[in-house]
Amino acid sequence: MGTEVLLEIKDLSVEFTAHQRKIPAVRGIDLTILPGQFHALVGESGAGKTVTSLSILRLLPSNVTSLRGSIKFNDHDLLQLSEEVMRNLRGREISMIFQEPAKYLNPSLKAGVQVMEAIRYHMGYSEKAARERVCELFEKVGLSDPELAFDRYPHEFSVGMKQRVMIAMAISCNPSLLIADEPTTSLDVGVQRQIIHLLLDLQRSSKMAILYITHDLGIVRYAADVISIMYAGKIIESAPKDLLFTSPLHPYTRLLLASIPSREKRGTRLQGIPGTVPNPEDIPPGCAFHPRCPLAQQKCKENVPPLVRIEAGHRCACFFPGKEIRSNP
Amino acid sequence: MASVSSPLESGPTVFLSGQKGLRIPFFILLLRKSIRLFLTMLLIPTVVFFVLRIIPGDPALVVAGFDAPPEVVENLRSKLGTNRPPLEQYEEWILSVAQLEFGTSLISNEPVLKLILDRFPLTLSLAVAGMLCALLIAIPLGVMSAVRRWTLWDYGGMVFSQIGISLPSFWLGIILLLLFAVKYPLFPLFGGDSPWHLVLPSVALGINRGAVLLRLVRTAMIEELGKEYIITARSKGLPELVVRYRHALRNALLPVLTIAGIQFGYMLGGAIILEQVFSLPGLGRLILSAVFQRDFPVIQGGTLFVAAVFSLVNFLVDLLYSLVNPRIRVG
Repeated sequence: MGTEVLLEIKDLSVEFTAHQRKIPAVRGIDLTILPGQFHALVGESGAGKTVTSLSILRLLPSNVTSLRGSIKFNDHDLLQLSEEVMRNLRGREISMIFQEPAKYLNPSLKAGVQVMEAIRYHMGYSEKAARERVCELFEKVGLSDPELAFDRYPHEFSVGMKQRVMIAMAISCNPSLLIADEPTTSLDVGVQRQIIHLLLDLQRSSKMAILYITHDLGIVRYAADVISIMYAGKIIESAPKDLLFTSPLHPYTRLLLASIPSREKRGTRLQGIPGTVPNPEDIPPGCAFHPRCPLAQQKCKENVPPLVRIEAGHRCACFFPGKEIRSNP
Repeated sequence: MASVSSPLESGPTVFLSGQKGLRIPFFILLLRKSIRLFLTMLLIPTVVFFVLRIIPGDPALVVAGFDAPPEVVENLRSKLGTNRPPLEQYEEWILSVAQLEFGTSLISNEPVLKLILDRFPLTLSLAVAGMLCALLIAIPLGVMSAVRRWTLWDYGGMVFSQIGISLPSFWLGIILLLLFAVKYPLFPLFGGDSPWHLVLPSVALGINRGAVLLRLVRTAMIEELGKEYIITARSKGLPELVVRYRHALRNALLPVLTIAGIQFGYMLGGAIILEQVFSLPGLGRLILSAVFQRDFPVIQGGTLFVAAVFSLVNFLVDLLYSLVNPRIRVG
């Protein structure tokens, strides 16, 4: 069955309340992940990527006042599950790694002990068996001398190594979905590449799906199967990677692609996108991108373009998908 | 009524944020702290000596009585050494202290050190039991207040700690004694030869210190529960109790244990007061009756001993702290 769906998010909205104001962080998104798929969720900071991922695990902070829609995982709606059932899924079926491993590791517990916890809680391993499993995992994520690494504290590792420990922790129970929230943003370029390759290897060898959250289209260029672009709390375009890079439809996607440096563009001036991302407290009416969009018309200011299927697997939320952008110098 | 409180209670938050610094090898740290301890140890007998000399009145005259014959007083003076120049006395005092020689009691003629060592275990166990009591109160209540902050539980905790801080432990001791030894005789009224005798005084000590530590546990837990690694722990599917006690409390305890360690010294002081209330034959009773009887060698030796134990405890707490938290090995 190749058409099985692992995760299906439908019309998810998340609202925060801060200083007595409602802040819509996510405004009705649809997202589908197939088993074993590498799905990249790309957007500028503040677009609602992290909020989306934390909603999947139901680990949103307490100032979230409204959470609507559905998140189906293997046909169970995660938002309807009891806390106890949900807890059994976390770490076992869905796990997560984060942007700054230094902050997301407990400073006063040994690395091995932290990795061991999920194995012991979810799989009932004995202390000894769990220790062996941790060493296997450490070897798998490329930590040389796993025995030594086991007894080290997080501050004794480099940042890249810490992220490897986090990855070992996340894959320890063979989850079917790994959420990676900007896992390479705080790393050096060389290490970034290593971590991406490690994630790709793991994805391929264990049929694990990855939801990879990043602001950097360039990073997922070679790794992703499907890319979804998020802007101001909405997904504005979603397509298989090749399609997205060869025939992007949304003007925002096209401007994003134009801003990635590449060999072909050598010698030409890199394009930026005029304006800034709207503040979530103050999102423009109609298409949220219209104030920055070179194609914007009156219609865009008044109506919200729905995310519609343009061709197989390619969806876009724009009234003028694929219309040529005239560069005005 | 002045409550028995220390200046430390007002500003413990300094310890809450983990300092970052160069990692110093443990032996260098040990050396540094040892030098500091050594200097303190040198300073203590000096202070004790001069404080006792500054107090007005001729000890020999006080001991012998004002109407004693002059030759008796003179005899006592030479026995105490107070007829010699102060600097000479000081030199002799330091030398004898260095040899752990504190002289003999004027009253019982027993060696001062033996008197102290006979009484000290009781005072020490009272302070330890009091500290345990304080932690047993502070940790669960503090964690609960932090987890359910701004609820009735939390307010209850705050009220308890406010009352606990305001109640002097000797007053609490008297109330406990009246309630649980006189009205409902569950615990013995006098003496100190069984662990039962320690229950009421250590509860009296523990409530007071526990109230202080409770607030510290609450603050530290709130800080830790807001940190990112808590999200990681939850994302692993760990039960909430494990997240709180294994992950958050472990880090929250670092500042709490430091303060608890420093307070242990004050615990000794509190124990000395409670010994009076509960008629326990500890170090405090020894020193106090020595004061009443003007038994100068015992006062001198006892004060020195308490001060030395105090600094030794702080030294050990310091070392333990840097062992427990390897990130904070700074001078």
